[in-house]
Amino acid sequence: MSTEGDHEEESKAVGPLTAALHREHIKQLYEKKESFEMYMLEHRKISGVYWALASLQIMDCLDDLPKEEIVEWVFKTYDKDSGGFGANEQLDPQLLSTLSAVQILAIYNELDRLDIEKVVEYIKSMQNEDGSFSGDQWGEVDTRFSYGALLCLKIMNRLEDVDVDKAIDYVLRCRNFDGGFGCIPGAESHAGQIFCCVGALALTKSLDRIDVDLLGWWLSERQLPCGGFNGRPDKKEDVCYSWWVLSSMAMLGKIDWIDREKLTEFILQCQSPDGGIADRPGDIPDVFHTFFGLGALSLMDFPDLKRIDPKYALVTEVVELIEM
Amino acid sequence: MSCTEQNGALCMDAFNTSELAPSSEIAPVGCIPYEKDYEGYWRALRGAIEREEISDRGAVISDLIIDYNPGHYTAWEYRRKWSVQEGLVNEEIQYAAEQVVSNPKNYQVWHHHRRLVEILDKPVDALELTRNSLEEDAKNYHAWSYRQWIVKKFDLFSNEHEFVSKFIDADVRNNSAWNYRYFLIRETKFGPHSHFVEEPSLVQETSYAIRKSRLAPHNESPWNYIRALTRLARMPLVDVVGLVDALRDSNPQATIDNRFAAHLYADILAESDSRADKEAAAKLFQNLRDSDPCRRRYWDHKLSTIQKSISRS
Repeated sequence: MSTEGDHEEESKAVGPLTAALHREHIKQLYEKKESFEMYMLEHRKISGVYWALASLQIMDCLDDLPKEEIVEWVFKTYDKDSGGFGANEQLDPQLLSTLSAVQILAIYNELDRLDIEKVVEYIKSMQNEDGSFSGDQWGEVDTRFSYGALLCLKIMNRLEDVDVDKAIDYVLRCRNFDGGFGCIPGAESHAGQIFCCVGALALTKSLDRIDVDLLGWWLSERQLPCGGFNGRPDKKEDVCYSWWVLSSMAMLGKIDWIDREKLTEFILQCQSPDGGIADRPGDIPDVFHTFFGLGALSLMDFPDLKRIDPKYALVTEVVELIEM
Repeated sequence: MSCTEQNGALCMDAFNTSELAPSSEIAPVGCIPYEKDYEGYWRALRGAIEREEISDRGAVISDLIIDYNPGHYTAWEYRRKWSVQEGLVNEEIQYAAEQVVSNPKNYQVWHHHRRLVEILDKPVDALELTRNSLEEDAKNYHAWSYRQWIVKKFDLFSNEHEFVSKFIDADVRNNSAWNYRYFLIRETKFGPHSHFVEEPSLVQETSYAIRKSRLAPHNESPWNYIRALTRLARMPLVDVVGLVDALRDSNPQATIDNRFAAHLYADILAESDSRADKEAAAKLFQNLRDSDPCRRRYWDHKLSTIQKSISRS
């Protein structure tokens, strides 16, 4: 007997995408500065803002939040000495926060407000001898940072400013026995890390260096009988894996290898009646899962949502501007 | 070394930042109390950093910051600098270990422990720490990956085979454990640490995986492991002793419950030169498509590949 469906099938009817409620949820999150959720987000606030804006943009209601106020706030997290952005005001620069800042500016088509030379300098300074990237000046290494660095540079059209060959060599060293990727060489394959590594390879046109079929199959095996995805074998489903797995499969050209209807149903079941999307049906929603649920639905061409580019995690019209 | 709020207040006085003292306002409903304290502590620590002050009171404040936000990488770095300056790295490792217990899924707490181990260039309590963590949560990603790093850096392979076997015995579906087992084989038998004492043979390892797979034939980990071992050893699947028999014994009519065994068996048959074997493979892929409609397009892909191979043979 399979253990993969170690939970009850949800019996409630699958409703539509309650976009209006999600918009309201995100607006309230932004406006209620003293809420518990905002407190929990404080140390990675800039990523929270990116997830919020990207969600709104997918739903084509970017104007729900005040652009100027947000752009001004983004620059309050900027450290002009290093060229990096912090997760919040007064926090030290960090690579993933810098990526979120650049993504926010891309969403708003305000990339020319950046001191691109300085930001490039910051990212360059994060690359190590072996091609890997650190997340902050204290040195933690992880393939998430490889993706973050390469994507950030790609958005600014400055990919050649780092050693791309070495960067990709490092990513490939993190490839595992099952075709997947981990956070550092040898670490277990995990859908989140796979997204980062496949993203890094896609952005640098290096996907021909991996066994696409093997990885595509491993990713397709993340789909559980309930329709949702897990992140590695024998773990529970979670809406965020809908994004990590599906976008990876989209980049590999294998998005057909899963059951879209079942995944769509699962994501819709994860909607909260008060707005927002949660990790699983019935749980408390948050902006992280809201973005990943919407992103996955967008990849499956769900009606009335803008199409998202899996490599950039930005809608295609933003990517078109970048690639122009 | 942990702090009480009283210590914190004393330190704040010492910083002479009375205007930044913890707020005595009643926090709004639903808010975490002392949120404004956190802002004050961080402001105080930033001030110390700007003055290049590395002090006990700074360490106390950084501990308070970490309490609220264990991901605060700057507060962690401050503690590293302080513990080195004061010759308290061993004590700081204990502190890091305590924090790992409280925050087992936080990147920065594990990273702190690792940086201190690097500074001392000794494994200290890392094996014990990861073992305890895994006993709480046998799939903790950070614990497994940190243990790999420690074992490789300090060449501590001797008991690891037994260690990982216990986890697989406890839960044959633990993919993290299988991943670690592969790491051991790759580093010892096929890698630079081949002076490892009880080096298992490939036959032993594949027999082990086959044996274990019987406990959960629907689980992918042992089958992925076997595939990977054959790639390491550059050996065709069909040459793995006992594998074909074991797969046949698992009755691979390709139900949803044994699709990994059936998939592997079909792949072995597909590699054969015999047309009859290839046709058997095609039949299995068809059965898999019928029993696993979720991945029907993947099985279509396998079917079309095998049909091409049949028409060429």
